[in-house]
Amino acid sequence: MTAVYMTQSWRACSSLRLGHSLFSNGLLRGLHTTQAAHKAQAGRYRVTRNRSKPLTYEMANQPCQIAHRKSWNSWNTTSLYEGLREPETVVDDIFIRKFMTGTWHNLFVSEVIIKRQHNMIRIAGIVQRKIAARKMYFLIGYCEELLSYWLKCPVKLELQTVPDKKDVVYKYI
Amino acid sequence: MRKVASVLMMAGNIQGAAGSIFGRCVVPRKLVRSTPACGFRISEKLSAIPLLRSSLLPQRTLSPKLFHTASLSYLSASDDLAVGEPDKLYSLVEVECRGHDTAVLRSYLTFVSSAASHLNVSLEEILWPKKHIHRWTLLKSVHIHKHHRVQYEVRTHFLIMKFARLTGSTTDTFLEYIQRNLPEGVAMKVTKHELHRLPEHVKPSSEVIV
Repeated sequence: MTAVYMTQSWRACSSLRLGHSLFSNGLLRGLHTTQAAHKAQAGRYRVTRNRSKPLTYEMANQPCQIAHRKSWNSWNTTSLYEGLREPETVVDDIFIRKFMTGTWHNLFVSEVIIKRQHNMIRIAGIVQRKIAARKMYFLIGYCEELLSYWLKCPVKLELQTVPDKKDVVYKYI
Repeated sequence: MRKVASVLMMAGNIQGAAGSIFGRCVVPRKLVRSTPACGFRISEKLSAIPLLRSSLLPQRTLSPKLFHTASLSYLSASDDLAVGEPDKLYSLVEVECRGHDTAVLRSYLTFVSSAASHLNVSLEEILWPKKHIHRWTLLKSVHIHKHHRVQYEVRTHFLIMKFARLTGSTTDTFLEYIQRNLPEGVAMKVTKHELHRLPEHVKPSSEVIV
């Protein structure tokens, strides 16, 4: 998991005298403000007129709330200090997410959580109960089997179900 | 002939017991690195019928691995210690955990300290070294807009737990238990400080009064 703490644009402060800015060669420099310098739009949803857009808790909290009100979606040791195999893990995570959302057609109502413990991958998430339980068991076995062959390690699915997707809605904006 | 057969049966039993303890659980990678003896045992035997296997392939099950070169001359029933060989002694076993989240490390510490207190393993020291922050700056926009950038940082928190005065088998078992319950996103590094006897040829001089 990458612990991303996205700070505001580094030119957000107005009229600041920086001792060691990125341009400086040891000289003091003043900064000029710009308009709308600290605009960020990642992970933020636009408010609708009639408050009709449903948001889950995850969607309602912006990326700046990670590690405060939100936690990460993939848990691994790759981006720790002296961690190994970071890019391969990221690509594996992308593949797992695409595979899960594609296999469970429109059934995931939360993000796909990927936890790596020892050499096991545990995939968690919340799924709607739109299909019969037998079909769900088949899909669980299918996903575990194929993913373990592709990723060359044991894969376990830990899914929770919810009768209706309205049960995961946190607020409407 | 009978002696060989009994040794084979014993080897099968021990490794069968090991198989049943570890069962179908997965072997942690870090475990293999820090406790090679355990790792060897697990990799050898996960079958349900260890006795049959040992009788079919006697040579393979009894040959110990090369990191115990001193004990190759003995025909050992267990792979890490020969019969009569004394257990290893560790003056200090240092466990360093790294993670992105202090809350996770703190909860792991409560788990480890309660496990240590139940198993009479003395947890001497708990350290929280300073966190390591890796920061980097990128351009915010795909094209031009050099004056608008985005900064990211990755924080790694450390936790060091020091256990004192352990034997080799206690260390192996305790570390095995700790590592099986290591949370996801937490890395562990184990440093063992072993005590050895002074070699025979190193003697105090005759002038020294012991």
